[in-house]
Amino acid sequence: MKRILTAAIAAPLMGFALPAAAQVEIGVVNSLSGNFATFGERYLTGMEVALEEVNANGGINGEELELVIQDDRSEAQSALAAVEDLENEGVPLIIGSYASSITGPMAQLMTRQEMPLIVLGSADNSITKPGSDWVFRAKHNSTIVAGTYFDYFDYLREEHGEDDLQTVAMLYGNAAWPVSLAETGKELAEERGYEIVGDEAYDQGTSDFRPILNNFRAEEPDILYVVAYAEDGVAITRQMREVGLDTKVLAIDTAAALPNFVEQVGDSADYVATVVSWSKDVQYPGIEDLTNRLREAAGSEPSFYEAEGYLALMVAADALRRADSLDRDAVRQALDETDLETPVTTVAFDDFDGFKNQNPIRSLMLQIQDGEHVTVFPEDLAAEDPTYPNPSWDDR
Amino acid sequence: MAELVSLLQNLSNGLLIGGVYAMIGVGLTLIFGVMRTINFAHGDFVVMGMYTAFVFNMILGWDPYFSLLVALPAGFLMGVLLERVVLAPIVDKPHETSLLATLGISLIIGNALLLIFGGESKSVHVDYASMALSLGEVKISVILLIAGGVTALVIGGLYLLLHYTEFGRSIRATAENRLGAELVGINTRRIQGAVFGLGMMLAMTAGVALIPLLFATPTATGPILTLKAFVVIVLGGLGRVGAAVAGGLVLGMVEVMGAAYIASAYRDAYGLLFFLIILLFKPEGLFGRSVKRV
Repeated sequence: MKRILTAAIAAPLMGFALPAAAQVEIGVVNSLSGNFATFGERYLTGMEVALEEVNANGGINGEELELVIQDDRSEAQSALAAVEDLENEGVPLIIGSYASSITGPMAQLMTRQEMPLIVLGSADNSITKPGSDWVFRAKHNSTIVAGTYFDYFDYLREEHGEDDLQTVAMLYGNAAWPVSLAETGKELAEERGYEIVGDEAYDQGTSDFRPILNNFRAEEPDILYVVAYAEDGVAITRQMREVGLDTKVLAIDTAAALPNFVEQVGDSADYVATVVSWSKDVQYPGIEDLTNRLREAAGSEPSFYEAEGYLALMVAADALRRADSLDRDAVRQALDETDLETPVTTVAFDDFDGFKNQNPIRSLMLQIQDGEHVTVFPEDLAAEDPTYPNPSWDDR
Repeated sequence: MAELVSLLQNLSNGLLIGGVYAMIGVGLTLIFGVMRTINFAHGDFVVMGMYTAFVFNMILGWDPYFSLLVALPAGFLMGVLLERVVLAPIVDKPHETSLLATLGISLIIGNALLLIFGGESKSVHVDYASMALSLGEVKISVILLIAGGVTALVIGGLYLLLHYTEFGRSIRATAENRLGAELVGINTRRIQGAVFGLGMMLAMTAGVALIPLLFATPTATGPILTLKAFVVIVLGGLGRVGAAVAGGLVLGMVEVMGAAYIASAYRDAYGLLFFLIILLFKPEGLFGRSVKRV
């Protein structure tokens, strides 16, 4: 009872205090604890770098931009509760979250509540396909990512002869994003004439992949296509070496893009290929300055995860500056008309191929060479040639 | 031939993974057997062991197994202290009280680790992480083998302690009948403190042994391990060390065989399904006796 009274007295007072502080608050739902915290922390770093830049350049039309950050504990349930909380606080838009299995339900809830959502780190197609008027994604999706993998495989085929790369084995977690990327990959494999010789989903949280990898070893696939979050990817790489599963190409999505992937698997990380939406060695204007700021804030080499965090907040700030008011519909309108250039990518929300409010971003293929992530594809953006084929584990 | 090799391969993996489960379960079952306390913080104790190995590896560059020198005594002392401060004052209260107390300990440990180390999952990379011993065609993971070896040593040591020392006899007496033990002059309060210390020590040992294999994430890893440990000890038979070992081995085998020969996406489901079936037909567990309360 006492608390309710305090709240009743405090609420109108806070209402008076807000305009005087002259600030614009936006909501952020991010995974800061739980299984996805590895990624959530990097996204947060990127957003903080963007926030500093926005406020140094006059904030939102003279008013300071502030983030109201809620931790979703890597669970969809908590994310939905966080959306309700933020709605009660009256924020004009929300940025969130990392995993597709969290952002998917968020997108549905926010569409019902008619509140703009800028997707932070999720790439599952279904978030923008069919999508809604209220959901905007500046980063890539399953179709773009799987397309980049198979464009790269095709490119290796062209360079080295068709007979070299014939068979693919797929290994992926049973969460929304890994399943989505694997399904899209399977369609592309059939379209482009690759034979699928292994197709195994694993329970998220598994740490023993030996039964699957042993089964694959008998099939001798040319390509192993893995979609795995941080820990799983590390365990898979270590255990591939242990069971002696050799492939000509090893692609590990998501996990292998983390800088600490190399620390955690050591020299077994070499030759692993992974798709990202941004890389520091690609020449966009302003990239060097951004890379330095991200590196300083992260305390390590920045990855595309920090870059996507930065991108999401820059998109939000740009829309808020252009919006007539902080009314949700006005903000949605402004997002719709986005035409932005950033050191990460250009942003415009288009409707195409069944997608809605999806930025048609290009993706890059990185390969780990001597412990460093380098861009090897597409050719016009590559910093180095890809190393092919992967040497067998015994020869390393 | 290829199938025989893969069967042997899967058998050896199942056995070693089961050994790891057994090590996590043993401490939990010991605490339950003697104290009748359901310890919800057990998984978090394991995670503390993982972080101990991680910290000493990061700062001093120690091999994770070397940090057992610190984890063993630290685990015992912390366990004794926790029992003295938190559990001893509520020893005669209803069961829910101690259950909630251990749940509280779990929350505090998880969030303290989150505060200190951040949410990023931690592991220790060792040079032998990907090494395997080859027995003909069958390859056996060196790390799993070490973890299995540590399990065997720890469980063997525990067996000797429980069956061949005066202290062990007192523990078994207290487990069987606390009042009776007290009547013959055993200081059961001291025994309970020591048992909680032993339980925490076993959990932290498991954590150290597991860190090259698993990742430690504050607040997330602990409850998962606690759940696994409960399945292991209920499957085997509550409160008995030997039964927990058997429960762990059976669970590991069921999971690996299911993942290898049915479909890997439902690995946890095989273990839980098997668990349900056992509970239906043998509610006291595979090797359990029904517990009579005095």
